[in-house]
Parts: sequence; structure tokens; C-alpha cells
Amino acid sequence: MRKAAFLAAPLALYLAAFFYAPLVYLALEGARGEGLVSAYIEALTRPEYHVFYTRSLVAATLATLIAGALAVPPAFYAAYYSAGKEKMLVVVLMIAPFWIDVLLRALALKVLLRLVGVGPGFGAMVAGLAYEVLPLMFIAAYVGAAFTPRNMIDAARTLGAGPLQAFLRVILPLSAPWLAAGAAISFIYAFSDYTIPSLLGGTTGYTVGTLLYILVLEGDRWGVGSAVAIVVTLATMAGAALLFKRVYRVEAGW
Amino acid sequence: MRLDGRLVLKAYTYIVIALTYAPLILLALQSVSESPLIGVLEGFTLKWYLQIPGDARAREALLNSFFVAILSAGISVVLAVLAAIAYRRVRTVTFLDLIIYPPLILPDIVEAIALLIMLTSIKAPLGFYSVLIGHTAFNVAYAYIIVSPSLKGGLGVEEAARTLGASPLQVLFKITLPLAAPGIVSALALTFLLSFTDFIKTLFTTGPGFETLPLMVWNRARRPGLGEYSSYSYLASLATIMIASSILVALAYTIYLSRRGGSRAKH
Repeated sequence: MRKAAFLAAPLALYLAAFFYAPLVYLALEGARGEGLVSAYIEALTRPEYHVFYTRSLVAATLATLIAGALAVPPAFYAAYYSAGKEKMLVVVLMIAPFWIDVLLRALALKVLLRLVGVGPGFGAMVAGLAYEVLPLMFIAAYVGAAFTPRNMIDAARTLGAGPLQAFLRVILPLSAPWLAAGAAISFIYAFSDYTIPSLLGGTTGYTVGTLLYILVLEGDRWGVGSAVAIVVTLATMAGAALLFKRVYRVEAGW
Repeated sequence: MRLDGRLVLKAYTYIVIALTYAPLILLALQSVSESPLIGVLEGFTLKWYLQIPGDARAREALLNSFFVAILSAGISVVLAVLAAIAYRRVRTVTFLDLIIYPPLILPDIVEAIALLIMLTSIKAPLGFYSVLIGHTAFNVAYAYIIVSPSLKGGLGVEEAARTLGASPLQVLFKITLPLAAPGIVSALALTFLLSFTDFIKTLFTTGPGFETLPLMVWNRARRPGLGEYSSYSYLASLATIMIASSILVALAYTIYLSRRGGSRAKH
């Protein structure tokens, strides 16, 4: 066990130094210059910022819903209604785009949107955010379905449930925690993204990601910028936690 | 009735897959289009690709991206393999599992701003090293997740080799590492590409004068023009190369993963 700890130490130290320590600096940044409390107050109450928050909230919610509607049926198809090579094909093709950087996917989507006559704007931005989080939603839904054994459906069907009932009352509740997790993570990504708004948002691309870019890289207002980043992180994490808790309560109840 | 439902689901699935890949294919078509304008796909030419070697800024950015990516992949896979060896016999959730996931879940923009603030506070110069440090922070997490299952697999074979008289070094080089090789190669390739194509973390942690390929493409794509190196079709050629490499490695890895998963499920 001693040897074990020793070999894992470099990786743990790396993360401590270059992932966790920066987060401490981020949390304390507001204290320098402007004062910690006033930085947070400004981040939360300044009306100009609320436009950014609201726009991100609406765009991220829509994008997560669209991605869910697009990703969940293929996940159930792959998990329950296909086998062998076809199953592998669907899973591999749905997950592979996850590894392509969002910048590159945004550049690609821009061509398609131009061809169908959609220029940069709110619609293009929502489409881009949905395109970004689609693989994540698929992974969550597929894993959730894979953890729900096929014979649960058969049992429900034997006991007289129709296909729709079996889906709504057996599969969906059982994979709900996974869908919730996927939706929470997708929402976090869409909410704080900067790449998509910068390339597809046009004049409506004033989202939380843009606000962070302006405060940190253009405006040199790091105190407020870090406060916004922390608020965003805490808010999204709290949302995720709440969602999980709720889903588990529903699960425990039925 | 049931069959109909399945067919509808199947059609829906393939439509979603088509929608997912249509933009990537259209970008590739844009990169071979005669016209420099976005959305004008006509003719076939390789002239945009042939322009790349003459673009001094792209050459420099490409080299920058390459060196950061190769070092980041090397460092993160070495750290990940060491840690995975340490925890290979442990089947419960470890301390490492707890600290490894936040770098994967936290939005990269928050991570990037945090690192920028810390590096500036300690007066570290921004540029090659800050970008390398930032990329490696998410790459170690990915590398560990990819490498660790492949190091957990060979314990039985190792036991057999030891019983048959193999020395610890022989076991390491003839059994453990060869069995883990697909995982290690996957981790190297994927972390290389994640770093090579990274945009957000680089944008926030780089300093003046250090530009990577994705940064350059983004800077020009924000205001595409008709100039030699700023047309959308030219940028599409650079992006297509990055997408093609990413998708090939990603497909190879996910096929390997699902084969592995499939063969394990049969036991």
C-alpha cells in the first residue's frame, strides 16, 4: 500500500498544484483590490450582468432540452432494439464527436446553418450549444439504459403493459438519474460556453462565457470576473446536486 | 405494432446520426470548394490545402500546437500509468477517483481563468509553459480514465507468470505493459489531440506572441475575409485536418472500447 501511494503521488500533486490550487486563487481573487464582498455584490446585483445571465439561462435550457430530445431515442434504440455490429455502430458514431473540440464543431455547423439560411444569432447559438452537448446527453442516456436490464421491459410487457407504458413507467424512471446527470452536465457546459456564442451568437452572443471573456481578457476586471466564475460554478453545481437529490427521492419513493 | 415502433426509433436514430455528421461533411466540402465564401460549395480544388505551407503564421502556430500537445500527452500518460499501477488492485472508490473527476466536469472556462489568475499572481510568464501546464491538467484526468482499466486486466496472467518463475521486471515488460499497450496508445493519441485542438484553455492561459493553431483559426474565423489566408474555405481546410485526425483516433478508440466491453460481457 505504501508503494501504491508513492506511485500515485505525482498525479495527485499535479492536480493539487495546477487544478485545485488555482481554484483557491480564483475564490480569493476578489479580495485583492476591490474587496471580496464588493466583487461578489457587483457580480450578483449589477443589472448589466443580468442580461448575460438570463440569455445564458434561456439558451442553455433550450439547448439541453433539444439535445435530450435528439439523444435519448437513439440511446434507447442502441440499448434495447439493436444488437451486434449495428449497436456498436450507433454507439460509436454518437459518441465520437465528443472528442472533436467545440471550436471545430462550431466552424462546421456554421457552414450548414449558412446553407439553410440561418445567420449568426440566438437560434444559431442554441443550435450550436445543442450540437456541443449532444454526445454527453447520449452517453448519459445510453449508460442509464444499459443499467436497466432488457428483461425489465419483457417483465412489464408480460404483466400487460403496452410498449409505451413499459417505456414511460419502467425504462424512463429507472434511467432518470442518468438522464438528470447528463442534463445537468450538459447545462453547465452550455451555460458557461464561450466558443459557440463567439462564433454563432452574432449580436445576441452576450452570454456568461462572453461576460467572463470581457471581464478577464478584455476588461482586466479580475475580481468581478472571478466572482462571476465562482457564482456560475456554485450555481451550476448546486443545480446538479438538487437535481440528483430530487431524482433519488423519486427513485426511493416508487 | 411493436415492429412499427422499432422502425420509427431506428429511422429517428439514423436521422440524428446524419444530422451530427452533416456539418462535418459540409465543412470538408467547403475546404475543397473553388469559392472562398462560406456556404458556397462549388467545384473541386485542393488549392486551400496547398496554401497552408506558404502561411508563415500557420506554420508557427502548427509547430507551437505540436510541441505543446506531444509534451502534454507524454507527461500526462506517464503520470497516469504510474497512478494506475498504484491503484490497480484496489476495487473500491479511491481518493484518486474523487480528485480525478472534477477536472473533467468543471467547465474549462472556469478552470482556465483560475489557472490564469494563479499564474499571474505568482508572476509566472504566460506562453508555452502556461499553456502546457493548463492542457496537462485536464489531460492527466483523461489519461488516467483511459489507462487505468487496461492496467487492471492482466492480474491473473501476471500471477501465472510469477508462478512459472518470471522475475518482477519480466512480468512488467513481458506481461503488464504489453497487455496495457492498447490503453496506453489510446491515451497518448487522445491526449495529444485534446491538447492539439484545445481552444478555450489556450485562449485564457496563453501570453503575447504564443499562438496555437486553434487560436489562429478562431481569430481569423471571427472576421473571415477574402484575403489569401483569411477566407472561410482556407480556414475550413485547417479545421478539416484537425477534425479528420480527431475523428479517426476517436473512432479507433471507441471501437476498441466497445469490442473490449463486448468480449468482457461474454464471460
